[in-house]
Amino acid sequence: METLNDMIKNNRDMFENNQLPEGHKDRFLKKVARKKFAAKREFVFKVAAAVLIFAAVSVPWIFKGTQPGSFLATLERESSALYIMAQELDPLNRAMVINTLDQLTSEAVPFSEQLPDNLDRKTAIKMSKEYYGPKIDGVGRLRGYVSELLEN
Amino acid sequence: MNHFFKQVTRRAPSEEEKIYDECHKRLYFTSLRILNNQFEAEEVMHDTLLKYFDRGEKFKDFKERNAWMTRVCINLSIDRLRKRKSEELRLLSEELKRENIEENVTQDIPEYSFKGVTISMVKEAIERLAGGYRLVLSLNLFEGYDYEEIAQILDLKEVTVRSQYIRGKARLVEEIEKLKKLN
Repeated sequence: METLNDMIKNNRDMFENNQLPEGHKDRFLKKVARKKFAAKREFVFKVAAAVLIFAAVSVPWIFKGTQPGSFLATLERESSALYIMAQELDPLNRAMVINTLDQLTSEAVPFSEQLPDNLDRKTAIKMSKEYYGPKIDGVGRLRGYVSELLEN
Repeated sequence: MNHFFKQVTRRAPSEEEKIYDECHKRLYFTSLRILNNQFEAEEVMHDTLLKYFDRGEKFKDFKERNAWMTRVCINLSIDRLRKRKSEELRLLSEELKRENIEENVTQDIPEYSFKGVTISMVKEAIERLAGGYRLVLSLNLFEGYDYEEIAQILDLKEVTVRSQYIRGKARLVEEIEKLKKLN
């Protein structure tokens, strides 16, 4: 006499042959992509924040400049090069990198133009270095990250 | 964003897709039997797999991995069941938590012959059961847990689980008989 256990054991597939809701796999892959994007964005923001904090405490100089305006010029040059590099990325990563780049480089009024005219040259250079240094370093690290992405 | 998702589907399957293809069906039906709702079962199945990817650890073998996934799926399904504010939940609480007013049901029903009973009758009868009975029967008949293990999962006494199993099976037979008459 066939028992319930036997029936289920011998016909398991028939108990599980209903159609799943249409699009179930696509919905899952979207959830995976969203999680990955959120994790990457968090990582990039942490990197950018760490760079800014570190540089504010001990600023590493990677440039040489004798004019206050030359630091801005260096930042613009580095960020333009990175913007071009980012075009090689897939749309999701590209958007994330450009967004982070904007946060590092955007200014309503360039710092160098905010300095008082009567400020002595030495102080102006020092202040420009302190302001633009972390940003230039941040762009450099972001560039390293983009290079890794492109290599993979 | 849609263009990105289209690109994903054209490339070689990712690790996530491979695991999904291998495991999703089993997890979906485990959850469906408990929740009796296909959309919630899909969500639980997705959440189970996302937890697996978050875990990151490797398992000794597929058996261990599958056992872990099944257990997570069951726990998530039960959590959902408990959150439902519905007649089904009330019945679940009453049916599962009640100390037996009558004697403990220890005597199983006389063996019922399932000869002549179709799979679709049994499937429909299971769907018609109250949530508590369906849960206990599913865990035993489909997932292979014994009374002790089910008691642990549901935080019940083993004697209560056995009573619920016997009553659940009796209700199942009643439902099958109704369906047989209809046919």
